[in-house]
Amino acid sequence: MQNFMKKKVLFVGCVLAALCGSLRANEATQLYWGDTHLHTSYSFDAFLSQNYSATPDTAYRWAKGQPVIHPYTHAKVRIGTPLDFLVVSDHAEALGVMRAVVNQTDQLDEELPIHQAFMRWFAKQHIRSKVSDNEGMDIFNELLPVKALNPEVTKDPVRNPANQIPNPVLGDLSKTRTSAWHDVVDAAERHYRPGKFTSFIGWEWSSTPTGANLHRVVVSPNGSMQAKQYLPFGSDQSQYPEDLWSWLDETSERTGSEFIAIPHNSNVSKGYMFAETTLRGEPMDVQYARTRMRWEPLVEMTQIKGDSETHSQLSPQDPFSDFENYPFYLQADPEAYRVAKGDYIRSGLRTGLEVEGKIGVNPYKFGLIGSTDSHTGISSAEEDNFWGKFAHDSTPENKRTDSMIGGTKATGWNMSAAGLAAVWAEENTRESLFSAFKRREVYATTGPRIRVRVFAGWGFPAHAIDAENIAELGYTHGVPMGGDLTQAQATDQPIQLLIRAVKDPKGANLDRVQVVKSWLNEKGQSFERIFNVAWSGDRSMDAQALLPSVGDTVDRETGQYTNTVGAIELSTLWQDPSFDAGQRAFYYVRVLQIPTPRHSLYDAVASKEINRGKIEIPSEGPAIIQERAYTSPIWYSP
Amino acid sequence: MGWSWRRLSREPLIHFLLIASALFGGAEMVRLKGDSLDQAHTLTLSEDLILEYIQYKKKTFNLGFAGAYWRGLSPAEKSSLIDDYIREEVLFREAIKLGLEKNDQIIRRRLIQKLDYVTRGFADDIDVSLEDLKTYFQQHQESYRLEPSITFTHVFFDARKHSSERINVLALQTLQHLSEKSEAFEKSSGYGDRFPFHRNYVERTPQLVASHLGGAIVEKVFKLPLNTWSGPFESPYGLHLVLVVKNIASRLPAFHDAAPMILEDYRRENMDRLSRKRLQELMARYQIEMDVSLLSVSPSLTYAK
Repeated sequence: MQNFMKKKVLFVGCVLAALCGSLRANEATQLYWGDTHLHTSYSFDAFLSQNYSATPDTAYRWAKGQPVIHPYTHAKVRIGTPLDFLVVSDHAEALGVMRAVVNQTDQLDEELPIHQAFMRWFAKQHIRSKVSDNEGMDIFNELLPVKALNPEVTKDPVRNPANQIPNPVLGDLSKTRTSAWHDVVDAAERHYRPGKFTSFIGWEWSSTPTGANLHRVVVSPNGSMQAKQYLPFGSDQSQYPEDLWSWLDETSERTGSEFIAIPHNSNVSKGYMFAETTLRGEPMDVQYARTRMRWEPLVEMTQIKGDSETHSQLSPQDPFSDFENYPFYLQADPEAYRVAKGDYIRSGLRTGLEVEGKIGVNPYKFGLIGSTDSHTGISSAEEDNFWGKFAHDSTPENKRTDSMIGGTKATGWNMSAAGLAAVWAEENTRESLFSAFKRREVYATTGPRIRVRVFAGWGFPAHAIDAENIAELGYTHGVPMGGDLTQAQATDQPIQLLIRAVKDPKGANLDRVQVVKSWLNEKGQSFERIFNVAWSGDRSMDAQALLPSVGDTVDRETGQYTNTVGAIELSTLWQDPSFDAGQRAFYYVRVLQIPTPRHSLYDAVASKEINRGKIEIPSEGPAIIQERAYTSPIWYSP
Repeated sequence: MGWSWRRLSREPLIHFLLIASALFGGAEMVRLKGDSLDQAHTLTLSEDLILEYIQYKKKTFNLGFAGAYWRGLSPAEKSSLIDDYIREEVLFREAIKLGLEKNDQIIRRRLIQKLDYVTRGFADDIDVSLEDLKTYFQQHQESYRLEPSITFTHVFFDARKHSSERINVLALQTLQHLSEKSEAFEKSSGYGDRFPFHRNYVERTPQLVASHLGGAIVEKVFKLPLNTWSGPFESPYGLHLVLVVKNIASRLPAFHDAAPMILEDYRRENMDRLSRKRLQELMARYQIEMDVSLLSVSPSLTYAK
């Protein structure tokens, strides 16, 4: 891998040098920003939550920086900084069906026995009448799963007696879904501008057996010729990820398409997303681990519905855990949230090391991205320009009441504007970005455009810390984020991480850079430790290696902050003081911003007059947010 | 429930179901025996027909695609597709025979939608000549206008590293040196401090430059003479000496560069125009008569008089 990267980089370097001549602006890889997870009115739940108008076209126009009409408020809205790429990923299940039923363009015209035809007619009337009263969420709630019965006995949630597949009362949806799919595909094709803006064809497989969220977004770098040869695979076809992977395998074979699947919201997977066994409860074997890693090189770390890095119950030593927790299951009946190892990404990556220790292959060797999962057609990860998880919870008033889903009592303020995918790629094209996804040279942020370079290796020159050509030095002497290192030449030479983080040019300063390390001991147990490796100002660490807080400049009355604390840039060459050449390990970098106002504070400031001059900060979340970036890990194996 | 029996009794589908059951019953009673092999009961299948069927099924009016799709199917899939066709065709013919398509709002809408698909599908077959595209480009140039962009390098003095008196002196001295030597673009990296964002900005828009260097500096930089070291300019990070080598005003692209977008837009516009034209032609065949109850309203569309 290391050699491969070096060759690749040399090649890219030569090409760029030849192209650019004397006007060299470019490093071997450029940073591109995007969202891999966005729903439009073609998703059944988006439509039922009053997104009647935002189409894939709306989504792409917003992403490109054009003004669009918000599907609920009907205000003209515009992104602060345009995106470089976007995946419109509507739910495969009943794709476009709610929209078509209400607009009476559905093709639910299959010949049915008279009583079924009547049931279908009744269901359509029910949908139309609910939607015309803006009560579509009632239907959504009727469709939600219910919690498992005796989950201790039946481990496999798909086989649990409580797991019902909704009655297919509307009959065969494939004609209506095909029309919708072709609309989605055609929009992606229309908006693709190689070199300037990349639109990807994709969808979401939304398996939620007994409320365990196992959702995956599927992304393809191919165009309409391939995409029109299949209909997106949904959880109504199978709730097992293994069946999704088989379908991807067969379909890529048949049509020449490429795919990756990106799991998300492991935080509400009830311990199943990164479990120690397969979903059926069987032990993982080499075949399973290889198949999973073939299709799932990335995981969505953070999004509007919570951050999945870690939880204080799993990482009690981490003062920055419990960031934007979202302890609410996607199900009809209430159930107390329980933290499990399989729910969080840091513990998932650790389980990967442990499984690798046993079977020789790591099933959880994935890179990290963030994305919004917005259902408004509007990818908004900016706290000061946040347009809702659903269309109807985009206003301060409705955040209090209208975003209640099923048995959970989450409100719009339990969520935050979050999720961007950062990609280091040669150019802004489907091929180049997709290759970066596959080699995991990507990272996640919770919204701000924090620029982060990380390289790991053994021989970085000391001047690299402050060098302008950090990328060239990094690629020459090491591997970038997402890469692998193996076999330290000398056992006494610790791994070095060359790290540079720069603030969002339009945003807040940086607090600190941390390295999160995990390693496996000879007994096969994993451990984790966090190192503060660079920070702003002249703070110093105490005996427990803890750093004083950077401070808080957020004015609770006005919703303003200042960059009087924090650093514009943090750059360091760190070496692992606890490196053991005989132990498997991974390292990822976490960059923290200084505290900035959360959307709930902006809402409170905006509602001051309504609240008779009082700033009432919603109790569901803090007034401030300490936004962050997480890089893909770099793995070391002996 | 948002509906009532009253609404139900006005529901066309209920009418449809009642009429349908009456018709089915009636047809059952008067069904003639022994006519099952006449002309009306023969389905002649051919590859052409199947390819057409595929195009409708896939909503992709492209014979090449349909052919490739058909050839890609396994024998079992092929026969299942043919089975589908036969089943649909038989049911369709029987339904038409019974007049089930009449007075049905859903079928009405579907037919309208289908006609729309067909008209749009045909628009893809339009021959597009280079001349057409050029003319179209001439007429719609403004929608292809490109943003202004600038190419420059800069030497940066970091306000975090130098005192406020020193930084000015340093910048002015360096400016003098750069100007005297007429130092080239690629040599700028030999001077000053490292800037957190980029050293060189190649064909970047005002918005991007403003986000990196602040809005105040952008206006000045876009007005600088080419190939001349200028400054110092102040940004939130420190002082900058700037060498602009290329400054492209907002402009129209060459036809060649915008061609893919022009083709796409031309196709779309023609598709819309053709379907409008077709609608006009169709409407021209109809005479509209207004009942007295509507005499005060006049339709806005053109129709035969």
